Amino acid sequence: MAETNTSTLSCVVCKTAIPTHFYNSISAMPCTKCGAFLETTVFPAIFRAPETGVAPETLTIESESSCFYHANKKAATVCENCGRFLCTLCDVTIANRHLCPACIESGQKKEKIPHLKKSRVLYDDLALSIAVLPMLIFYFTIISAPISLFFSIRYWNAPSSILPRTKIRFVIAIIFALLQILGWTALILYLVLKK
Amino acid sequence: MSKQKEYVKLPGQGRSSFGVVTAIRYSLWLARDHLLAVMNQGYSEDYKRFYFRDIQAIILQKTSAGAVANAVLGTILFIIASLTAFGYERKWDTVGLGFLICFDTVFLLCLLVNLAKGPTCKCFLRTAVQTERLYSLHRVRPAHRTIKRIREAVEAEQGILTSEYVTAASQMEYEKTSTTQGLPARPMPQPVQSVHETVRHYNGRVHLILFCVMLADSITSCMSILAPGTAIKAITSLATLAALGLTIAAILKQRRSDIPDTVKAITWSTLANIGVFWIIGIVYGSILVFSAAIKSGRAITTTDQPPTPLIVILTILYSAISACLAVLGTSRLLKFRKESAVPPPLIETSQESDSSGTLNSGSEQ
Repeated sequence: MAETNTSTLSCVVCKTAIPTHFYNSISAMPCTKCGAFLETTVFPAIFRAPETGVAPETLTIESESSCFYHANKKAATVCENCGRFLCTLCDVTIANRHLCPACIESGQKKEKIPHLKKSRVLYDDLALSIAVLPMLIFYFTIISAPISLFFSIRYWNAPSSILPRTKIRFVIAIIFALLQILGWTALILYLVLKK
Repeated sequence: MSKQKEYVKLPGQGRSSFGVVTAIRYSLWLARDHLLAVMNQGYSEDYKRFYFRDIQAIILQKTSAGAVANAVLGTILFIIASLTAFGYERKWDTVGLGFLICFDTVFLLCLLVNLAKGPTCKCFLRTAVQTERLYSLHRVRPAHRTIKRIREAVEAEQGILTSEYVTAASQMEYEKTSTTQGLPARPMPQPVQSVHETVRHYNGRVHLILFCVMLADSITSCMSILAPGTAIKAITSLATLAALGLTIAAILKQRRSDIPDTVKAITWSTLANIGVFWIIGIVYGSILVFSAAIKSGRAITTTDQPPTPLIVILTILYSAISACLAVLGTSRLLKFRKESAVPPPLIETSQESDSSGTLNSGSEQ
């Protein structure tokens, strides 16, 4: 069985290998099998061998520092968050920082490591939608306005998108919610006083 | 403020196939050491990071979705415009004509917007572990701008891939594969001399559009005989002008390209056809107008004149030649496109070994 050549590109349609003289061509080239026109921008990483980890050294001298998680392995580095000694197996590099698995897990849960953040709930969009969309059927706003106001206040300081974003959506949602609450209050008062 | 410096938005904002309904939006952002792909689902965002040191390639596949949309919009617009012109000549009610004109405007705007946005594409980003589709890049022009910026950032991290490095690395990989298979390594065959070094490849898109417009022109020319009127003549003139413009564009595109000589000859014949009949039409029309004006003693336009038998014959002749050239050109061009998609047999496609485990000495370079 032929060894898989991982340093070649494949056509995204038919998975046929793209000839190397098509790499970084100026104009689109047709795939040799399916004819799909492809422009490839290739970088040196495609020819780079996958990085292999370094096996941890066994502790030979008792006076040497050992890994916090593997008592018989020699410590190679220190966790930049908690200060624990780590062997090469336990050392995880994220954004040029050496961290231990425990700090990574806690950092991910407490959202202290931004590079590990995979998703965010956009409470400002949610609050604004709750404030605006029910206005299509006006009667729903008697329920949605307080909910929108609650969301806006409750999640005002919650982490929002990691992209540049202001709190304008919260502000607009609060304005809409307050106006709706005022409107309903006025209407109820009017009906009560009229009787 | 630090967030604004951390991420810079790249051109392109796309939706998935169901994004129109589900409001899923995609965008790409450039950071200091990675590319961030964001999928906004309305109330939440999902992030994928691609570090520059890990990006192996970006592949852009040109698609025909935009062209298909143009064809469909154009066809619908042509049908509705012809119906509008027909209704105008037949003096239909104003409300109905108003509706048709509104439809014309809407489809015309959609067509113009689609044309302005340019051709469509799909973009993929490849790393060692995955090939990820970049949904935000679905038009070629913003995709090129984005890829240029990503390339600058990645090359700053990884360095530039030269063609010598590609050849050397491919040779090493080839020899390694040959060795692990237990086969003696042999020099890698030289890559096939690319025709693109002297003659560039051209897929004939402009020619295809020209042949479609020629067909439309021949149809409208015949309609102008059957239902003469200002609107029909205006549409016919526009179609002929479009055909002339596309012919010139096609002639420019086919220079130093690998398109078949037959198609090139048909394009030149189209130019001759339009030119000759246009000159005849101008000359004969001028004669008709002046002679009618002298007879009646007032200014007359060609639209006031019913089509004479000569005009009918000339129009039918022009339409027939246009249609024949268009059909011939389209069939030859489609055959060329099909042929250019099938590769010539490669020298090293299969390396079958006989029972002794040695290579068959078969094909030559």
